[in-house]
Amino acid sequence: MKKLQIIMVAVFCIMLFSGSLAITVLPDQKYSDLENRQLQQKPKLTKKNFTKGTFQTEYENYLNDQFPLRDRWVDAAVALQTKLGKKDINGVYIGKKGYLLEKNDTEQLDKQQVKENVDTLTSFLNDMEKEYGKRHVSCMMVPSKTLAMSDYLPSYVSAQEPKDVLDSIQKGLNDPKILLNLKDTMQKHQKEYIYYRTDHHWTTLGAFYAYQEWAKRTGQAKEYPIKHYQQEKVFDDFYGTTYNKVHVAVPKDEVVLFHNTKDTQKIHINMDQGEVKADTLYFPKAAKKGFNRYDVFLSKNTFQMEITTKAKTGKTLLLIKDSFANCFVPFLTESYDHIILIDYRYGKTPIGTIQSEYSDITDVLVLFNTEKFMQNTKLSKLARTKKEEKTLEEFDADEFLEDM
Amino acid sequence: MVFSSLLFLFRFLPIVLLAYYVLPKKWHNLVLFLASLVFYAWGEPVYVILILFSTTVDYVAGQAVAYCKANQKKKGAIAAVCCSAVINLSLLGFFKYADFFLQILHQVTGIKTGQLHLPLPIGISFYTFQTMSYTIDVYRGDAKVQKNLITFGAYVSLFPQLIAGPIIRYKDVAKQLDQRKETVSLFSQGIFHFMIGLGKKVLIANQIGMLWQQIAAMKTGSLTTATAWLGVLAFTLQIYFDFSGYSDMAIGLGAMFGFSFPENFNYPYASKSITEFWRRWHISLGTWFREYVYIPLGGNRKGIVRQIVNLAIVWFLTGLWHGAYINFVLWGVYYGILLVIEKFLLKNVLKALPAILQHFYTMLLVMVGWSLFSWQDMTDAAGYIKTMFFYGGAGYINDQTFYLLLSNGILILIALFGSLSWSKDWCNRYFFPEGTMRREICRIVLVIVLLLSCVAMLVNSSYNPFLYFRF
Repeated sequence: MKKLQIIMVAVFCIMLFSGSLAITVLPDQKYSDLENRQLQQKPKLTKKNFTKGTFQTEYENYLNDQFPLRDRWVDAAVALQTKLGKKDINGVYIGKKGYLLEKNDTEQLDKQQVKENVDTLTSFLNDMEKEYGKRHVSCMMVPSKTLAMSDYLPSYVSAQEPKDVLDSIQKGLNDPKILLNLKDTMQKHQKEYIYYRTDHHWTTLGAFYAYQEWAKRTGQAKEYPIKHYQQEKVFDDFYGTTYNKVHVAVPKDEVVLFHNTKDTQKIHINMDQGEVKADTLYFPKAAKKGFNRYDVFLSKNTFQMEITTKAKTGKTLLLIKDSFANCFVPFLTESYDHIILIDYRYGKTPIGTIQSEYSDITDVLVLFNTEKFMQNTKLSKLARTKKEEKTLEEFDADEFLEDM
Repeated sequence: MVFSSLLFLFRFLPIVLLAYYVLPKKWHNLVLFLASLVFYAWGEPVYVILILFSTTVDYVAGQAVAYCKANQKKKGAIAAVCCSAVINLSLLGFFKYADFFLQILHQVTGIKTGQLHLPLPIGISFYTFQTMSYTIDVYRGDAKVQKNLITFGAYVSLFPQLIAGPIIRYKDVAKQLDQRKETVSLFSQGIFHFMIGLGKKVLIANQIGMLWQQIAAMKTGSLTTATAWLGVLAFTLQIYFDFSGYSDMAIGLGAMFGFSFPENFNYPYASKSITEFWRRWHISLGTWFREYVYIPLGGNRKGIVRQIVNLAIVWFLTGLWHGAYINFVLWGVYYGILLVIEKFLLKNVLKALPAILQHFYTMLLVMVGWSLFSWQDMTDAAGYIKTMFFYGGAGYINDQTFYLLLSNGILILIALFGSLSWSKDWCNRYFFPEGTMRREICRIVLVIVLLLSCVAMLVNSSYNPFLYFRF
């Protein structure tokens, strides 16, 4: 009996001391690929830091961040929780058939911000409609994966639909038909691979169905059957951002490109005022090097992008977008000579300035994921259309404050 | 600093254990005293002065009491005790209750004073009670005066029970402070006790706490009656596993350094009456109030009216001790009333009931008590309790209730199993009979499994992927 007590003491002490030693001896990491952030480095102990408590906080973060085999421990913790029957971990539902679906917590949204965004968007669309004509302006709202793929949610979970937000956009529009809610379209194809299992984005197939619906409903572009495109699988090892939040054993995703069979597509793309130029919409090499395979589409998110095609339709599209548009854009290249992509999360040039810069604009399309649209805090410049621009004074309070 | 952190497990504890056992015996109390100050200063670098102040006050008061008693100066001794009580209670009153009283003053008289917004010094409710108990024990002759300031400092600031109890009366540990024997047997028991406590806190309380948080965040309109009960159940389990887990860790750590602290919880949810519940829940607090408030007031020796008044005082104070909010006071009063009713009316009625109904009665009242305890805003509390007993804003039950139950069911079952005393008896009888080899080996395996699981959960809690840059 005494021997076993000694063993207990020895085991406990060895575990504590070896753990402590390992933290001390092993080299500190600078960056976590998995979490995609800088890891806390060892803080310096000063009297001021200590009395303020910043040293203590930083030191605890340091121990947590630099804990040996950190990623493995995190995996073990998630495994433990799933073994206990937990169906949502770190804000992600462990859905059916390998689907990971992010929780959309509507109660966490900033209601004021949502209202501002709705007002901004409707006034923008109304202005555009006046400027370019009814049939040339449209707005697509892409449902979040949780809503679109609601069949894959765990039992007894029902997806929340931001119905009031979409309704109030519709109500604010002079022509309510401009708004295209893709919820039904997406839900109709739920059985197919239209969203990645481990990422919040839709797949190219999902974007294709959206394109068909949009082309049919608005007539802004031509509708093609799926056979029109040649499919190419570029990756089969994609773990998306949802997977980063919770590591459970789910199959990796595939990334498929849809090429036009008719090779009329001499594309030229110009990003960040000419800093990056390319002759393709796809960047498999860059996406392979980085760890987000979705970057294969247009390589990255940036404020302003310009695509020139050989479509010879005489039309130019202004596309106000978020990342969901990145795999949608390839479907547009047959219908427009020129596409201007603007992503307001990465820049703040008023939309009026952009309009003046491109006098050839004939059509306008807004493509947003509803969830991200509600969270967006940087949309305000979308309200500064050409018409508004003239009435507003040059002084920009926002910019002035930000510069300070 | 908290026990349930990587910092404590892989930095503080190994270093203190090493220092304690490498240095000779006469240094032991100094090691504990200094370690405790570091432990406290880690979270409260400034307030460490308060604990030193309280220590000094009672060290001096204790000396004065002893001196006066030796020289037959009873008045002097009483004065010293009063000094200690006034200073300690003023500290507590100022730092914990100032804003509460100012607010009441404002509501009653309309005088606007503004608020102090002082952060509450961690553990002040525990250490002020401990230092007072020392002076009173010396006055009563229950303990000898402690001449060594370091030993006394070690008692007051002892890190295992510094921030969340148990409240250890001086006379319980007086001997151990001066001469205690650290043994392998005690150490290994301490490890087991500590790991059980850590598991209770990290694996059960923290997990089930997330369920409670989720339900508490729901608006009354989207809450069903069943979900409300599930929420209270989650909170009932969370607070027990959290608090008793902390006490277990404290007792375990104490044992590692040679102390034997009294148990603080004894399966309270297995009680058959509210009276029994309070004999099993936070035992050290109940004992403190009985010894230092209820009995000095006369207890039950001065007639029924006086006894009821005494009970009212004790339960008002017990409620207030839990926090400077009106809900805690109400919660204390709620128990005061229940105990009086039980004592004078229900005692024999209850005993006549089948055991299962006695349990049901007790747990129903305890859970209603917790729903009062958990809301600082009385309108929230009223809304929530209303949902529990009437048609909820979203009906009696809905899909969400089923989902929450399904997602947390196993955890709840484990927690229920762990909170009832028969499960321990059952395990001991059929699987791990006392004194067998198998029992000891299983304990070692359990310690390893618990430590690994807790570390995983602790590392995970800091997992913080940054994803927004490319949504």
